[in-house]
Amino acid sequence: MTKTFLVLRYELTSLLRKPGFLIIAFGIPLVGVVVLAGINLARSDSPAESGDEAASEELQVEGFVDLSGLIKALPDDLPAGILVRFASEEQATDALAEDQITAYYVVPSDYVESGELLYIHPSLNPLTDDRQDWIMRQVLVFNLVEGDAETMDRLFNPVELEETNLSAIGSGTEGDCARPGMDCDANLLIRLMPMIVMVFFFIAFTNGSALLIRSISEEKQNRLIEILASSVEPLQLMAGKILGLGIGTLLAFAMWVVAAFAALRLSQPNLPVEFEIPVSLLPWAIVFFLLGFTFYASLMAGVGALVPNIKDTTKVSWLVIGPMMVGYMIGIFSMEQPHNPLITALSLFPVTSPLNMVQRLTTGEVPGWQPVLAAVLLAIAVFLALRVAARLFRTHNLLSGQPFSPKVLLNALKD
Amino acid sequence: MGKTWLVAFEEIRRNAFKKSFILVLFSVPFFLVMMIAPGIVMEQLSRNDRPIGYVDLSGAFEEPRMPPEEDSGRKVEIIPYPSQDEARAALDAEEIQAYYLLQSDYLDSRRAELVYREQPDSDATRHFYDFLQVNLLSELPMEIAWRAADGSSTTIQNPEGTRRFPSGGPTLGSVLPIIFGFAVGGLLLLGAGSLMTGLVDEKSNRTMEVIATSISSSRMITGKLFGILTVSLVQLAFWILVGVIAIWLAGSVFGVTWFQNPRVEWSSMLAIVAVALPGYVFASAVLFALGATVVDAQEGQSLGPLLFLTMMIPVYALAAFANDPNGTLAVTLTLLPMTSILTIGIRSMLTVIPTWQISASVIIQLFCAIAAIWLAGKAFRLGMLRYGQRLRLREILGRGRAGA
Repeated sequence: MTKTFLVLRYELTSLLRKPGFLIIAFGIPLVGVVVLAGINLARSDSPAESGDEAASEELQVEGFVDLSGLIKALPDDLPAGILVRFASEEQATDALAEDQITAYYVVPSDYVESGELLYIHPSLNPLTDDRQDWIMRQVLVFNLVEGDAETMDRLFNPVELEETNLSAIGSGTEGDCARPGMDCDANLLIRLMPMIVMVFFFIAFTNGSALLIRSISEEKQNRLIEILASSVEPLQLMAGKILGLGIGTLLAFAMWVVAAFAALRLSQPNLPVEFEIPVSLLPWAIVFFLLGFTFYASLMAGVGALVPNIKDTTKVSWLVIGPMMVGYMIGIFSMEQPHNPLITALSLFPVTSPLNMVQRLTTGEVPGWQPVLAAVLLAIAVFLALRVAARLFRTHNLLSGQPFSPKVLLNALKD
Repeated sequence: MGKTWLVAFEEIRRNAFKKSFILVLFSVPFFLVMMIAPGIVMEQLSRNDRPIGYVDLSGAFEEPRMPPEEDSGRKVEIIPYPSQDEARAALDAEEIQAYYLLQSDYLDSRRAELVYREQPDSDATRHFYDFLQVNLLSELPMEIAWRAADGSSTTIQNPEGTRRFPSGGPTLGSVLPIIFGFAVGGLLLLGAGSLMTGLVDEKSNRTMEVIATSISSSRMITGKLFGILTVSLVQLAFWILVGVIAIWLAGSVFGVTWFQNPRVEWSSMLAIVAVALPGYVFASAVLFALGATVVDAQEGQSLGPLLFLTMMIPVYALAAFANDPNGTLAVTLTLLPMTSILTIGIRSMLTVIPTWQISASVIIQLFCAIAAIWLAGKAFRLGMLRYGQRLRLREILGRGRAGA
């Protein structure tokens, strides 16, 4: 036990002395939060944030060329002179060149059949929100309904909807921000929270396991392992490394989680009052983090014992990370329906459960027996993974310099 | 010239016939499948073509008009039910995916209830909204009512008429230069890194001493650069082929609209290739020079992330580009080596990059590439004399001046 602790202390202190690790684990999140806080502060001092919204929402003067003959009048509530009619495209182009207008529209002759509207605008940026074609679309609808305000109201508000979900799971409704998930349209942090939590778990597992395999193969390559093997039992060595690097990863993980939520909180300062994080999330997140990390780290330590040098670690890591990637990718694409049968199955299956169960738990409303079953199955998988790793993490494998191959892996498992 | 070709062929043989080349070659198709396939599978799983029902307690829709089909060609049937019990029975029997209950005062209050067991398909709910709208405008001809309900399809065009795209987010055509930029940038890093690793290996196993006795350093560098460039171009061609097949599969076979009829901006692609070629030579020569100065392969590998971080600067500057795609930062990063590839890819989506900027970028990178080759030659010659010791830039430049 003392030797395991010595290995643990050595691994943790060497990790915490690496400038690269310190920058990634603590430097980047801190800088990110400070920068975002600075931007937030600058924004709060700007006129737009201090109530002078008119300045930022000023409408631009635009032109239009109506080849369809549809536009007979402009809505009364449209500011005067905001839309200027031109008889031809040439006239509109000239006005644009002379900065009389900022953009113009061409309504084609077959507009009613095709619905096509051409918007001539100097900015090609598809990500910008400074275009105002909503005005022209409103003008077109106004003329289609012959300027009748009541008809327009019926068109734009066809229903005052109330939703009833008859099933037990996923009883949230569109626009619901009471719990994390894609139903919440009003707040980006709440909307993306299940994905953010899953992405952090994924990064923690992959980085932590990568640190472990690199540490083992580095010591194999520089022959330090030969000295260690003469004084420490392989299992003590493996346990010390997993625990030491696990604590380091957990520290970095906690820092990133705190920084991410601080950053998102700064960018989305007003959380809805009804919002609350499911109470079961924190204890279950700790359980799945510890079990998941031990599972992946022990497998990575096992295969790491068979890798003779650092160069080969990347491709060997894929043996362990690959199956986790499947759950991760499917999880990313299932954000809209976190309780569908496929994700439910993945959240119970031990290899993918540390990611997909946490994703579902963040959304909430997971039946109580499911995390219990997933944790029991994962604990069994951890036990088996530790046995496999112990079989691979033996002195003759650690001292061997033969290149890694599937045959070497199978032979080591048979020994 | 013959010896240059020999070095180039050896570099091609050394890189193209090893397992890592095959792995890298197939990693892109693998990741494409990993990224796209789950999306398509989830889309297919969540797709629900079952009809949607409604109960009209208001009696407003006695002779309802049906809106045209969705643009995607999907047809979700809308079924009226005389009572809520019958609609509920149909829902329980999974004959419909949901039903709307239009309250008795619907025409005045617009109150309705949506009842379901699983969130209905978004296409289905949209289709029902269209149904409500065309029927609420029943006094208008169907063609006019449908146009008012369906709205306009806006196409944005620049005043010169050289670029147009639909509003509502970037199209595949507009993001292709970014994807292409990432592919070219990735190959640049891989190729240059492989060149440096090869050099460090040859130095440490003393093969370099044998080679150096029979070929000049400039010919050797040229041969190695040509060889690694050829290998990277083969990889790029394979990835493009896979990309074309993936787009065709997604658009034509699986019917994903975003992948259909992409308008490729060939001028942007050509601009990326034009800056990538001298950029590639520059990066390879810089890493070759670094490889000549380091002691072992591990130390050499640790230099790769520096190059990667430099190349990724345009990604960090994405928000600044979006705000001002022709600003000083955007133009500066377009002109600089290493940052130009991704900057041009990103800016192509946001603006039309003036030709002078592309030309200036190519010229600057050509000069940088020539300077880097010169530096690599100096570093290589000095490195050959300094086994087991790290060279410093000051020493390379100092000796260079002394030599001149």
